Amino acid sequence: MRNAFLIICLLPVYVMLCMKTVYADDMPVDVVIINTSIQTPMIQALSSITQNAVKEAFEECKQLVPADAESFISMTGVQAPGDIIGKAHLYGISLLVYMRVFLVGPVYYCELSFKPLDDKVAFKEETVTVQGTIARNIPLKAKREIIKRHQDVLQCTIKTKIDARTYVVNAGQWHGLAEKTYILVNGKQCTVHVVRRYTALVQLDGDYTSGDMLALNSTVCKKDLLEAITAKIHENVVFERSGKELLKGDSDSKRAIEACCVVNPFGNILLPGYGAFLATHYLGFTHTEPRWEGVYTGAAVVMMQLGLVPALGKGQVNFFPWIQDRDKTDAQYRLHVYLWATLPVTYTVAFFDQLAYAYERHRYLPPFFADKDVMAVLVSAIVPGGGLFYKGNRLWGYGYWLSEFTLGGVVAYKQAGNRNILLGILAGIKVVELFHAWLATPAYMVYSYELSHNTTPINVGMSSFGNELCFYTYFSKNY
Amino acid sequence: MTIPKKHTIASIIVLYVVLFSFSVYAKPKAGFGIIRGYSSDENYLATLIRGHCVNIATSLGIFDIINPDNLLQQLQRLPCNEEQCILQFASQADLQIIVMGTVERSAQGYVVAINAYGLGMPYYGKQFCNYNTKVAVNILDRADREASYIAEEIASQFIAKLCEQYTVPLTVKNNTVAGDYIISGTYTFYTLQTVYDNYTVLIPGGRVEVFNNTVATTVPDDSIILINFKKEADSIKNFYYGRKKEIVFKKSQVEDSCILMAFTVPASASMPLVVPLFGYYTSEDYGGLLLWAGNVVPYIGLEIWGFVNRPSELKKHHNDISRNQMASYYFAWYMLLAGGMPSFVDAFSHQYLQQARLYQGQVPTMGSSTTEIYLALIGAGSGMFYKGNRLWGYVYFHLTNICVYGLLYNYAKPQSWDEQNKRYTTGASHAKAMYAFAGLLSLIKIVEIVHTVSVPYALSVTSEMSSIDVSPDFRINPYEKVIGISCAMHF
Repeated sequence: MRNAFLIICLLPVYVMLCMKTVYADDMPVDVVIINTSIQTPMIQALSSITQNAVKEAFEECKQLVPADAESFISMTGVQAPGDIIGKAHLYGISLLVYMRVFLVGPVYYCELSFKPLDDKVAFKEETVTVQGTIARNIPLKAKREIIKRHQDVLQCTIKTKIDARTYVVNAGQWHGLAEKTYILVNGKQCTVHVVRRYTALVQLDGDYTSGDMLALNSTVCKKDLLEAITAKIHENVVFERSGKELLKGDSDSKRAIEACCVVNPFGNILLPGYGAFLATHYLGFTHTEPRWEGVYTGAAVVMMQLGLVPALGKGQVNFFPWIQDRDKTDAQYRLHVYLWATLPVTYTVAFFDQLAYAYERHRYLPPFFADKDVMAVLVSAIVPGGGLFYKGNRLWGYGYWLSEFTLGGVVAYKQAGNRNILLGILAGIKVVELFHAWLATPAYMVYSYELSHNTTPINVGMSSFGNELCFYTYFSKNY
Repeated sequence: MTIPKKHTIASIIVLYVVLFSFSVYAKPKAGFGIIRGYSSDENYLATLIRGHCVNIATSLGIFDIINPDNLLQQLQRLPCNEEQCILQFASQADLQIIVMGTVERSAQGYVVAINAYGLGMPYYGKQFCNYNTKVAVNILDRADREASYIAEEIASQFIAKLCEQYTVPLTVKNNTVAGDYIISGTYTFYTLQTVYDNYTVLIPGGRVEVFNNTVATTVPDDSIILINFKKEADSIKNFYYGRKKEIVFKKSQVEDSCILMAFTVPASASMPLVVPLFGYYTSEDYGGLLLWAGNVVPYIGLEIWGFVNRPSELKKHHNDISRNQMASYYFAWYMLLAGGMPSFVDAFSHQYLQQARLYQGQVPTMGSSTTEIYLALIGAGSGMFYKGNRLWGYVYFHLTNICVYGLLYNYAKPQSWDEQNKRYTTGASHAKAMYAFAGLLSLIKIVEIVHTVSVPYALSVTSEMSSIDVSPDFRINPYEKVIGISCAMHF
């Protein structure tokens, strides 16, 4: 009796439901993501975030509609994940993505295996592994691998032919289509009349039948997506490896400015070369040792700056640059002033060298690294080679500094002759240095490791070739 | 594919009440479904945002909001959490709007993405509103009250955007607009044309006058009028902006403005030292410091040059005093007495507004209309800096300084040493050019005052999801090699 009452009550509801149009366009799914991670407490959260990131990668590329395995099972009634492969083709699935997140020591790994089921997708059958010591980067790196493997065209299939020119295709607003005219890859026009979330009603030049493929230029720019991911990874690395950790909450940027402008110059006046190393302690580096080559170079250059002109004057000239005695020629006087005036630059270069070494050794990043390129240019504009030291490229830094410093000295010493040519060369080197500072990739291992791409150096595999009965093997190397 | 029947029937039981009220609801039914995060802090912020979205949408009275807890319960029971499934669920539940979103932790704060989908005509499952924003704050570091305010602000921005972009179709029958809305004004009417199956288009028919739901001219039955909620969107924006001002600014008093006026000369004079050290450096506003160095330091250089080469000093050596030297000297006095004020205002208002954005107590001095007019009047761009708009601040700063210098240059009378008579002879001013610069300066001041008063304070807790990248580009395609510079703007 109770059941009969329930049925009577539900009947009108059920009728109403049946009458309603389902606007979700029959729920298309092109990709199924199967998470095979062992759900330990350490991994559970990361694996679900990574799974979501993999899904997001497909959503952002707007080519293949993704669904995770649980949703697919509930949508289709497939009994177990193992049955997905067998029944996937029945539901028009083009690709299976298996993902597994695991932890080995301090390094997180994510293994992605792609299993293409038809030739509509550009994915090869392969396994890719990404790794990182910062957990937050794993989803981003997995996402990057998926985006990289998308093709530059949006392939859609004709679902229904309505008349000679009007068709329903299986791409809609989700795929980035809007109600306007597109040019197909083959040069013909495709006018989208009505767009739904997953389908669209289009007018095409030419005769097509159901199941034919159309190729449009992709509605998203892959390069932008990849750059955005790199920017996020960069942001995470800067956040996690900031020198603030060394100072236990104190501002590393303020400390860096104070160290550079106050602590280091005084340190170098007291102990040329070694003072630069001691000044790094102001930024929180402890239990460390100096880069001795830098200390010796710094000290030697300071000695040279102080002693060159007295040596040129055979010990007869006054030691101080502001006193021009009879033995000091005009050229020597100018060189003397130049060498003393550039002492603070030498101190700073020695400090930057020690800092770059300390950051590399302790696996931290310098302050303001979020805007590393702008900062490198600014530092280079003030200190010769500074931007390169800032990015950890110490040899380049020394190269620029020594060349500019030497040229500057020669220009100061020479009053006539090819002075203008030397000035031009100096300006040219400075411009090249600024560009180099802007474009140089940071040399810090902690940074390059986190931004690195997948670890699979060489891919070897076998895949079907279109619809033909042909297989090919491939051998490729990822950079 | 469809959701298996067992799940559909299970959801029918709970949706029974909702569906039976179908005929009663005439306003669009909106469901604020899943706004979720993965970690505890993401979830905390997501829950707050969702709650505030429901509250704001309910208070507007233009939607019928489905009980959010029941809806969430149903969505959580739904075994599939894909967009496709949720859209189908929403469609079966006869919702007109379903909202889904995510809160994701980033290094600097959170990225909030909320999307709204329309289920009925004219959307048929399409996404019509996409809101993405960044909040540079750690929500767990904030007190409950501050966290709630931040979430409410985000929710208000989303609802305002939703209202701006959502349209409701109303059917016209017997020249009367049916539905729960009373509308008056000029509207376009549409006729619904079915192209194929459920693929329909709205064909515009022309403009009609509507007064209290009665259409003035005859239109075919079943014509459709689309109404929007842009006024409501504006109301939300104004309300929350006004409320935030009340919360974060101390009540402005005339004394504050008077103190600022009295402080103008000392502030301007001490600017070259105080602003970089005690303003930007202390508050670690390195962006501000860099802008200051690039924009203000050249004028400080001119100020120093003007005082060093002052006429009295030149006269000691009987040197000629050029028009430029005279103008520099006058300009140095201008910079000393008033020209340094904009940088001073920028340094302190940036700190105060940063606190205000994050609801960190009530900040003094800000929010006074007297102060902003005074600053716009005396300081080049000071009013804009006061309101947190650095770009316009520096635009007015340069425009004013150029005009002031032009005015002083043309006013200045050069003096040349007459060796024969042992005295200085004075030249004439350029009267026409001087008046032209004076007129231009007045015009800029008027525009600046009006502009300053009309722009809001930069108080938003969120920031735009955009960035501009300029980088060298090298590409090879099958046809050509391309070398150049690429510029990409990310939204």
